[in-house]
Amino acid sequence: MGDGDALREQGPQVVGQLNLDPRALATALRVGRLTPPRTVHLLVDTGAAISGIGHDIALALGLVADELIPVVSVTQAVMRTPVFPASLALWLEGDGAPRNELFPLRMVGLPPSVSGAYDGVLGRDFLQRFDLRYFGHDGRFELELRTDATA
Amino acid sequence: MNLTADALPPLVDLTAGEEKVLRQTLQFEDALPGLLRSHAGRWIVWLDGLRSAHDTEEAARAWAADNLPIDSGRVVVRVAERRPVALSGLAAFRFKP
Repeated sequence: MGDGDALREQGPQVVGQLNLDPRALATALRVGRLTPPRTVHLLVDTGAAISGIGHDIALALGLVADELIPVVSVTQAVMRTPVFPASLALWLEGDGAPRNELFPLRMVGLPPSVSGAYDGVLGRDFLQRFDLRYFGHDGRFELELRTDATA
Repeated sequence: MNLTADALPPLVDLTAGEEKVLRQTLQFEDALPGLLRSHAGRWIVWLDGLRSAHDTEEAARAWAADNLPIDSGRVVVRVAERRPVALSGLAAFRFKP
């Protein structure tokens, strides 16, 4: 199966390094208790209002919930789930030298993945920093950081 | 919408620490009508009451990190109306049970 086939089948995915939020990261570094980041595969999901990560992954990374918010799932069940401040490091290419950039984000805890195809989703709260181009014929996509967006 | 704990089951299995955050979240939501009159749009830190209010999420989180234990159950939250957040665009459709 070529890359295009995989992309069409699994949807557009971003691969990044997930870790504590920048402030917690700085504190962990200061006290020498730094958790290694985790490589995560995140589905670009414009249908999701908020980003999410598997709850087990959040706990393994040591993320600490800020609050629990009401969410509505595809069955329209309204439930509560923790919100975790985190940071996502992405490799950006294009104009200028390629660089690794750290984005703070909030992610809700998600139940275990059924398919294991990805670890979480990037919703509109995160994607508003980017312009998205999706090439449906081969499943490729491009995320371009908006010039007015701050990491 | 009834946002009480009984009305809204957890989507995931909560840890003991998250149960503490849930209790503080429910306290915050009980106080929300008053907070909307005094602190609408601001980021606050809540732990058995309003601890501090800030213009940005980053400032609120910084205050919480400097002044409260990470495992205290403190809540860092924006003062705004609470509505369920859609995890998927398909949440707009009524599926047969």
